[in-house]
Amino acid sequence: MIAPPGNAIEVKQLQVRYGSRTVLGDVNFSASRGKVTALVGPSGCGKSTFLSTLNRLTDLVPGCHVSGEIWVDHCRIDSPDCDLGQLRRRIGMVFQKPNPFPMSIKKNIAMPLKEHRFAKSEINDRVEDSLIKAGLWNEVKERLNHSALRLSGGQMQRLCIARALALEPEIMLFDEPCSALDPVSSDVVEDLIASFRGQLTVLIVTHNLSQANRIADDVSVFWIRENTGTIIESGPLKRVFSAPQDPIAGAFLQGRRG
Amino acid sequence: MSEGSLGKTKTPLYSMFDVVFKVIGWGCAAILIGAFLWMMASLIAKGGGRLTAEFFSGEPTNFGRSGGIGTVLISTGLVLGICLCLSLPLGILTAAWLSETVLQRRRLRFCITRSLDLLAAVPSIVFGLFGMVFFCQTLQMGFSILSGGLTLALMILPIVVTTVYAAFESIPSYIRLNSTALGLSKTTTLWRLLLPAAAPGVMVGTVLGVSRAIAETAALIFTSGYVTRMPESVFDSGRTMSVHIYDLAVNVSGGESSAAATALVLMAVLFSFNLVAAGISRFYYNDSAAV
Amino acid sequence: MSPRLNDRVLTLVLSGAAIVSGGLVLLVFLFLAKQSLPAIVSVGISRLFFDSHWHPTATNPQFGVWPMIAGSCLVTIGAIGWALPVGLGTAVAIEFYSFKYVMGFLTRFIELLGGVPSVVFGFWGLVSLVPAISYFHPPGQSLIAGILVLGLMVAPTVALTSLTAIRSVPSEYRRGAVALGVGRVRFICSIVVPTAARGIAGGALLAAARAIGETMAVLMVCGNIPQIPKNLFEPIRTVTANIALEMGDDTVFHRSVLFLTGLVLMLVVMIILGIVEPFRKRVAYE
Ligand SMILES: Nc1ncnc2c1ncn2[C@@H]1O[C@H](COP(=O)(O)OP(=O)(O)OP(=O)(O)O)[C@@H](O)[C@H]1O
Ligand SMILES: [Mg+2]
Repeated sequence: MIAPPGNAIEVKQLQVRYGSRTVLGDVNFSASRGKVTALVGPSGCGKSTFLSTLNRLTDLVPGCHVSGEIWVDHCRIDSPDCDLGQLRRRIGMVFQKPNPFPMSIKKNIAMPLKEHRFAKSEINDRVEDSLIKAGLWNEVKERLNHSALRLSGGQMQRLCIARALALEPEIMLFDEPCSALDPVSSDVVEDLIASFRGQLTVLIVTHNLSQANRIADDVSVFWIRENTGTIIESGPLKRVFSAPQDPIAGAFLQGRRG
Repeated sequence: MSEGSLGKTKTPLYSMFDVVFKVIGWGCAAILIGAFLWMMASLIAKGGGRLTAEFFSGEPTNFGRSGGIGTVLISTGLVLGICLCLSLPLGILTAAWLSETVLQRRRLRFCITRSLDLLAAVPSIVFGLFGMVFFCQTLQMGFSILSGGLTLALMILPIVVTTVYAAFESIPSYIRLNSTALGLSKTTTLWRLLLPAAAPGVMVGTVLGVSRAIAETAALIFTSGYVTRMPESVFDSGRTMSVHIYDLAVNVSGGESSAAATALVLMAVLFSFNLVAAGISRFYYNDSAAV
Repeated sequence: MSPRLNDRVLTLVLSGAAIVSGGLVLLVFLFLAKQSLPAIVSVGISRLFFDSHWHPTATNPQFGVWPMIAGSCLVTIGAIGWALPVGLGTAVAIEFYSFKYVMGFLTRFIELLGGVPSVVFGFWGLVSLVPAISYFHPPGQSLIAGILVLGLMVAPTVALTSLTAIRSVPSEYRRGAVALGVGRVRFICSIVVPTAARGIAGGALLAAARAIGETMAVLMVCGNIPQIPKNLFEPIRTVTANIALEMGDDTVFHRSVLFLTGLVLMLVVMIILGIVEPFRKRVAYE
């Protein structure tokens, strides 16, 4: 499963408003296929908002208004006739707090599979497959029918990743996936995400710059300008960290005050 | 709350007032407690002896003075069954609409919540009037268990909607977020995730609604009627426990002991419902929604 | 069905249900209004007030509803008159003068008392209270019996709403009062009750709405004679009892007048609850 080269995501002139407040403006972004892109920046600058425009989770928020162009695989996903079910199957998303559904481990993965009309005969194999990919199989194979809420935090987070992987996404969005986990679980999840390189397009929001350094190929820096979040710097990780074009981004990446 | 924390700082004059206040406060509480105990005592004294196994199974004889309340219990069950058949689905769907179709339809939402508030304000005798003309006469259901049940359904609908709505609202938002992120449809989200999560709330709503319905008399006298024999179908008239109590107390001289015994059964049912509702909300929601 | 179609059907079903639920009160209103029409058009509202008696079935029918309105008002005012202080006193006793253990138990008890069916209150009033009253002052079925039974019925409502209001007084006030060495009585009188006054008043109105719409209890203990009572021990008839007693009658005008009184009763209760609205913090539907 090697992804073809090219840009998996293209965002042009994106603007997001909550009511009358513009939280993201003038955002231009692209993510190459099969690469891991880290999104960094201070709190409240709109990183989570940016991620949720990509799978149109913003639709859930009353009063949220998105304009600009968002292309995923050469499809405009902000057009009204975009098939949202398909879009969200192809884009997996994992949140900061590990939150499986209150049902069994197996059902957590099988239910979305049924919804997306995977053949009944396939479902068991896919459950196993995705748990193996998420590195969770050996820990839970004995208790697939137990409640997912009794797993540890790190296991729950990997279950959420497995749940998304089972749908065979091409893109995975991670919103601070490790920040609610202990250091050991955090390392496990981090390694797991790093292992997707080359197979999936990964966008990961993180506050941990050294984590970004370890796993990302590209990095985009968000910042607030005139009360509006925007991207002030993006490019290959090595270049951005060693020779940033924007002085504020440079200062931020150095860990100094901007 | 902080028993004694204020007491330590009291000065002599205040402490005298404090005692006066305490006496008045407990006097008030004692009035309510005393009246309640008096009521229970007189019910038990008058009807306690009638509570045998035959009382629960037998048919009322001699206009209810003797015999049991078997058929009355069955009619009560049927009325409540009909009532839930309408109010539960309608209430759950309405609550789901209120909480799931977010805020796109503000004005309609406002109208519907307000008219539910108004429906909750309609006195039960007015429901009786309405049920009589609408169900019994206009829809030609006659004095029947069906008419009575449907009338009660309208009456408890606001309770069901409010309780189930509160249950939907207390579902953590991550469930909707994750389900949308996985591309699950609204239908699946509602059936597979939200309804199961709201199930305890639905149970509380059901219990509260049934408690209200089973206590009701005025709305039933002219809709489901007075007939004591075994109902053959829901199109038959049948009397519920509360109508039975009323009829025995007012229209049948010498019916006191049967009425008191029926009242005891009714109170026992209500108390256990109350405990169940409080238990469920304490267990699942960590509070007493049953107030 | 495809998920898309599914969702569309679901939206239809949900909004259908919501609209039906919302429309019910309109349906109730329209049916009552339709049935009251003959009374308004042919009998005329003025006769309801200027006819001196209530003889709806006489050959020359009289439709004066004054006595019933007076009965409803008197019994409601009397009931609130004693239920308000007793309910409030109970709330104060529970909140300030009881141990934590007793507190929960008492609250639960008051809740139970509030859930006792009105027909049981009425039955108890009829077999226990009325004989006791008639011992002092026959006939026993009287305004005072109605006031006592009805007040007992709504006192739990007052107690519970007062309790909620008292508990919503910020706890900083309590700490502040302790810090200043303010006694408990002064604290209750000059801080708790004024701060909670709106909530308590709201509770009293709620109880009044319940009392005026109540049928069974007053029907069973008030004697049901449509007259303006000269003292507490005379029988009265309320608007609700009047409807319950005569609802079975088939004469068009008589029936229509009953529906009209029902309609007015409903509007009155709605108005009272409308007044309560700003007094209560709305929890529902927000
Ligand atoms: N539902 C909402 N309604 C209104 N404003 C919102 C909403 N969600 C987020 N915001 C605002 O949008 C801005 C961006 O929020 P967002 O959560 O995207 O930031 P973030 O970069 O993810 O922050 P963090 O790093 O703390 O997660 C914030 O100022 C926030 O207050
Ligand atoms: Mg965020």
